[in-house]
Amino acid sequence: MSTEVASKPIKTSEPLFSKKNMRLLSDPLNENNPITVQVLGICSALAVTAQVKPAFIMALAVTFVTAASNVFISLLRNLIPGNIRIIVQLTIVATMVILVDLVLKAYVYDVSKQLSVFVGLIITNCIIMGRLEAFAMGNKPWASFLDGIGNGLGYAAILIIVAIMREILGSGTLLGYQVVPQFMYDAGFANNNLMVVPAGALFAVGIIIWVQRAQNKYYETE
Amino acid sequence: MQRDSKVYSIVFATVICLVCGVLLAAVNEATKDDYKTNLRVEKKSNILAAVKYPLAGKTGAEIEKIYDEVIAATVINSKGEEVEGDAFSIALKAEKKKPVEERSLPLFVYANETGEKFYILPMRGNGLWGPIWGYISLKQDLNTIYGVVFDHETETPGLGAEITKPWFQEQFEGKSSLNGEKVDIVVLKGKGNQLNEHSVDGISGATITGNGVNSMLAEDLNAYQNYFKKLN
Repeated sequence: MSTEVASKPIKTSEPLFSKKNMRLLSDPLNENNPITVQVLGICSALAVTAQVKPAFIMALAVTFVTAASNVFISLLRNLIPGNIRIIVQLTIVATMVILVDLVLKAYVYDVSKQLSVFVGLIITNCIIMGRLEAFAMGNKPWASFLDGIGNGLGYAAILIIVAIMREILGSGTLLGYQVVPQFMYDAGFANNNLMVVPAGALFAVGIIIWVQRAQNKYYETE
Repeated sequence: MQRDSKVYSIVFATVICLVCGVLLAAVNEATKDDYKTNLRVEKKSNILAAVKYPLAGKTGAEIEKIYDEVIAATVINSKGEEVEGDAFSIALKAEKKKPVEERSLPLFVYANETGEKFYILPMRGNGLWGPIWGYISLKQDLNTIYGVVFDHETETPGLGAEITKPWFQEQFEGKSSLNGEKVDIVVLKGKGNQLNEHSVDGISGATITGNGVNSMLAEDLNAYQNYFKKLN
């Protein structure tokens, strides 16, 4: 995995929104996107993107968990014993995930039902553990927070783009509202069932990776 | 203390677990009531949905009010006698572990504007991965199915989870649940079957979930038949 690139330590005496810090936020949105470039967190990108609403909530939840656990791990980074560090990371991530689950169940119950098992699976999202190991263990809390938010948003961006493609092509709706007008159906447009099943997401993610890499002139090198 | 020493690791792990545990317990306490309300509203919406009561756009509080106004509930046993108890709070999960004779069976009754009665029976069974449950409503003849609602915990999306979809549930409407004295309503294997008034199409690739629906329907409808005979 190519997550090691961004893990250079940041110096202490910087302003909060220095150029370097802002890059932590903006890099994962495009050049170092967790899904399309780092290729982490693909499984949930396939699973929850049939509709925009659950994709949006999932993205929010992952962003929160990544940022919060990045901060906690970064705060504790000089105290965590090396031999149990992965378990400590897991404990903190799991705590954050259960917090999110409890909040969803209490305040947006229908969404929590739709996400069902996927909320619990946030803990296995490779983006989170990847960022903890590659970044938070070696950087200050503020930088780690930005890194978490940046990677969360990078994940969110792809999730929502994929979900928009899938919901429009697969169901003709957006956020549950009909957006493909009737005359399109009369003219022969049909809802594409492939887009509703996870395989459709694979195509959508593939197309996004293709477009993005063509634009950034990014090529895999040996 | 050395960061690599065993004692330090154990102390550190203990402290982390304690802090996380206390935090989670506190949040759980804080959100418990809202979660319980959500569960209660969901159950009431399912009961109302079984008689196709239009609930789109209604808030939780409105649903609870409608439920209180239009649904009456009794508890019966398999011999057909009415027994003491609060029908709504009966947990089917626990009841189904008892032998049929000892179960308390909740029965919900809905009367529409014209006074026509519909009987709503809760059901619970097992799908492929976990529990499935639902509500079935019968017309006043206690035979014709008016509506069904199914739900599940962990069935596969696109396969077993299709039991929650309208296309599957709507097939049951107007079917006969009884063949003579016997309960006879079955989900067949896959689609495109020769159907009669006691059968509906199944879900291709989800035969085990379909079988689960079948045994749930048979067992839970059967338990009410003695009571229904007395009503007729």
